[in-house]
Amino acid sequence: MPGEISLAHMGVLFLDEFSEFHRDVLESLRQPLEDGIVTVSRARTSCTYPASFMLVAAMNPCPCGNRGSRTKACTCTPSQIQRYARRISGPLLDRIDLFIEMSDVPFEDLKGKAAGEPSKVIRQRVVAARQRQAERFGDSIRTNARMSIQQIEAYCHLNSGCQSLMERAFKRMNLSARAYQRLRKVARTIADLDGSDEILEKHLAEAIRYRSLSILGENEL
Amino acid sequence: MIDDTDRLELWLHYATSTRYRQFSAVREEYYYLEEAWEDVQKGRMGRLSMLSEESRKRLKEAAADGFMDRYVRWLDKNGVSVVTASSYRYPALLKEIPDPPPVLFCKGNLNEDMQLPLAIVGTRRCTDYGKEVAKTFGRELVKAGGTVVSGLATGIDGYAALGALSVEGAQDPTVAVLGCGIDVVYPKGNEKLYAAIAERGCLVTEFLPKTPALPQNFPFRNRIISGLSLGVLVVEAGERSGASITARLALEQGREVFAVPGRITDLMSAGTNGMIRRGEAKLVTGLSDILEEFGEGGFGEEAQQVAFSDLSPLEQRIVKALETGEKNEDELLETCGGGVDELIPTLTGLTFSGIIKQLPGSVYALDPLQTTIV
Repeated sequence: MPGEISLAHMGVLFLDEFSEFHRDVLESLRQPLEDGIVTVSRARTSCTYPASFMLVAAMNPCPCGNRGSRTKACTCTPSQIQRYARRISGPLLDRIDLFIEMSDVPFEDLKGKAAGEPSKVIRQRVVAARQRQAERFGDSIRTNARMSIQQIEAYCHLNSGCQSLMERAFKRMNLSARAYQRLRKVARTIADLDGSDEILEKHLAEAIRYRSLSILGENEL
Repeated sequence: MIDDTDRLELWLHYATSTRYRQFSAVREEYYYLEEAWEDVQKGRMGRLSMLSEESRKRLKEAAADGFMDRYVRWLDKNGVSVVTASSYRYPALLKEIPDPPPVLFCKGNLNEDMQLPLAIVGTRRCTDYGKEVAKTFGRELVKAGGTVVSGLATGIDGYAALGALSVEGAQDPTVAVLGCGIDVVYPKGNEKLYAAIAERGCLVTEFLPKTPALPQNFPFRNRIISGLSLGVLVVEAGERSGASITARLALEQGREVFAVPGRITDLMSAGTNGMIRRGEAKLVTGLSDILEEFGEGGFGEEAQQVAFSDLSPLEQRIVKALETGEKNEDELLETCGGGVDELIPTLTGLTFSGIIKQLPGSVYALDPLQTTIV
């Protein structure tokens, strides 16, 4: 029987309370995230299922959940936060492209003061970006996420401004080679959403912003 | 290597441990410790009546055949060197305190000519603010040619040492004083930092090998932290914390005490703010405040200066908005405008330039430790 990972094929796999999963469960996500397949090994046989999905995960910023809050005090010690951060391994984090840290929402805002962009408008932008990708890739693949190295080289050119920005990001954030390729893909998608043929510095800067997670800095001690 | 004179002092230290008065009383009684060794071996304890029952028992135990051989061999095998109070390698500043430890066990290189040793201490339960300040002061002190002395605890002490170690190529950047035996890693989980300091700096303790980190050990340790240093910088401390004890000991030893101020609503700044209020500590906002006290001005890397007028209009609006306190992305969007697709790249750019910093929860703040805006 295929498990949750294969059931999510061509869809979204959402894991709430990401840090509460067993480490081996989380590590088993690495192969499908990279290759789009999952190999299940049992005593006698091993079986490979398709598992091409988008991983969405949610977790607290620390064990007590108040880290970064400006209204409630975080009661965690540095070592508790470190232990918590270590539950998600570096290689797994490396395969996640977008991190969004939420701050707490004041009550007035819950009552719906700020009216954001309506979903309808966003949808149009997403459809247009998908259209660009369809034209770009023809029948080979559908989305930027599936680009091979050769396709990245062909479609994700970085101008000199982007290259120097990338260099600074590498030094500051200790990025891996994998992160480098993934950043280019995300920048490509942001440029597509912006209706731009070229990846501009602001597109790459936004992609870099999504790769920074403040809890990552907690693994150093 | 541990030589024969060290051996006799080690032997006496093994018996008296932290009961320093007994150690010095024996040293006064015997000009040559060899005589004490002979007396004990022959069971003549007459001249050793100043020792407690316990000390005498341990003195005899350690005088038994082969005991000291095994002890010394164990120290050598574990890469532990011994610096006794009579050695020229004993830190000069430490000799000046009322009860200097007669023996120091060291792992790593105890630089006898330690430059500008400054203790950086504080609470274990530090905030992100304390962590950043400790790391910055640790790093900047070492860049200015100084040495960070701390207590290898989690929290402020650990981050100060980490900041010191982050300066590549620095010689003996940090000394950590333990409240346990030299072979005991405390707190657990600190193995990496322990190993890094042993390799690039020095671990020091007066406690006998295998001594666990008992709560009563820490006041002893704290007096060595301040004793090794010209001054003590307290980064964050609660109202009644170990760091406040270190600061008080430092004052008694005639050392300078500095404190980093915090917000009055922060529990972990209650101790430091109180020390400043009572006039026990000098308020510092940068390394130069400390260096000038030691006549070492002009060292240290100051924060870079960025001209406000050189910033783009959006960057200027962001800086202005953050001057009144940290803000999250939504709030910045509201006050600065510009749309997400302009704001977020600009925030990344400002972060990379060291003008602002990103805090947990997509919150941004100015970074005055790195950049002064003029």
